[in-house]
Amino acid sequence: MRRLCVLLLVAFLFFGTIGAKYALADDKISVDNGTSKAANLSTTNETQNGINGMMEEFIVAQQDIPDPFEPVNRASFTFNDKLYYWVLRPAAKAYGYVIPEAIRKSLDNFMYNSLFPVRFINSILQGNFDKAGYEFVRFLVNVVTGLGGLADSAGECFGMDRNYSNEDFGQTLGYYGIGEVAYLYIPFYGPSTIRDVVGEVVDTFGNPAYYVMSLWTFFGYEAFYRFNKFSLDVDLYDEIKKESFDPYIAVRNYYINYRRELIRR
Amino acid sequence: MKKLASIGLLILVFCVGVSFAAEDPFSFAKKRTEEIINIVSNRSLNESVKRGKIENIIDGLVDWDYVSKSVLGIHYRRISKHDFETFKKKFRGYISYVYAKKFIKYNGEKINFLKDEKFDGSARIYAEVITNDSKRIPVITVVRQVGDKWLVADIYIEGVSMVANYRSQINNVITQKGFRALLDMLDRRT
Repeated sequence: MRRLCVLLLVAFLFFGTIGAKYALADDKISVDNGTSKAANLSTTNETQNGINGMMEEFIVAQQDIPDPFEPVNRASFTFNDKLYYWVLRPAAKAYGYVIPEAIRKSLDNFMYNSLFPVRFINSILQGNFDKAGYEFVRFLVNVVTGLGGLADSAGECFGMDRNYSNEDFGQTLGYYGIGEVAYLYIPFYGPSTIRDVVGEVVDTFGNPAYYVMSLWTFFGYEAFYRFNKFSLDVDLYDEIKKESFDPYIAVRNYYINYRRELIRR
Repeated sequence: MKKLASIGLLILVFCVGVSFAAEDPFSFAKKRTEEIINIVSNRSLNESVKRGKIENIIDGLVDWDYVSKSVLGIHYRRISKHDFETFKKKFRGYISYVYAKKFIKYNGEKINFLKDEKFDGSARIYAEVITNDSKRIPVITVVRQVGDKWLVADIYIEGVSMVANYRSQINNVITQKGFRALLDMLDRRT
């Protein structure tokens, strides 16, 4: 029954995605008008330096972040901001004080390694057998020589990049040309897009934990995975906030452009 | 977002920009990087001295005029020359301060310089930072030739442009709160 519910949710999100994509097609929202105009400004003033062409090439990719739900997203951002300072940060600091970093890293390695099917399947779905093979070898090395995945021996001993084959279904959709549709800032979760939410739900089926736990236990497991990872770099958000003129836009830029870069690779 | 954790350390590659035009920016990059690492790793220096030295290096690395115009975008033409110079001075101090703080966090990550692409008066330098948890983070530094020097015009870490990121934030602040509010923000942050 629970799987049926998840399937229905996936279908709902998928068709919602398609619908929203068409709805937005004629009314593309560009929140970053300053970017394109600045590129034009540079082009007219400083063409002698030939840099503008290549700057624009990059900058074009950084424009047009669809954010039709910005007011709601900003409210959600404020909520998560309070959650971070009042609950999550102190809790993660306390957790980090009690549990040594080495153990937290091992837990993170193990949980990350157990998500191998997600990365492997998505590499294949993108027709990238090189990445699929790399991920397979990485997984095997960690299982055999890394105490079942508790240690990232593939990275530490053999220099295998953890990022290289880190594929998910959101990236697979992006690989086949499906855009973000709309940026979302989700309470208790953080930055995402409609496409990536669909991806997260679909990737659930590639997570072995989903098949061996009850649904609520699985949600608890996922929450713990994220909390444990968060505890390894608890001050990151605080730093971004202190260094930004508008933290909401800074986080949105980081998230969207980082995801675009992952798809481009 | 998780990979942003390493951003502070990645900015180390920022240093590749300064080189004399006669010298290849790519080959010079390693020397400049080593120079920064030596400062950060020098145990005889306290943190504020290290930060001061690094701030000075950053100050000489960046094409501040170009970067300031770029981050202001359309607003550059709407402000007076005096306001622009004020902004440039404050932004320069702010960026040097922020990134020097990040450099201090360098913790032995490996930096590989991969290749460069040269254009007429500009170049891109491709590098990767290998973090201590085995992630390879791509960094592209865009440099432009100004007189007899190469100066940094932008830096891309995992596809995120520093200039574009500041531009969209600054655009929002000026549009909603005005240029003076932006200057006040810069004052409060340094």
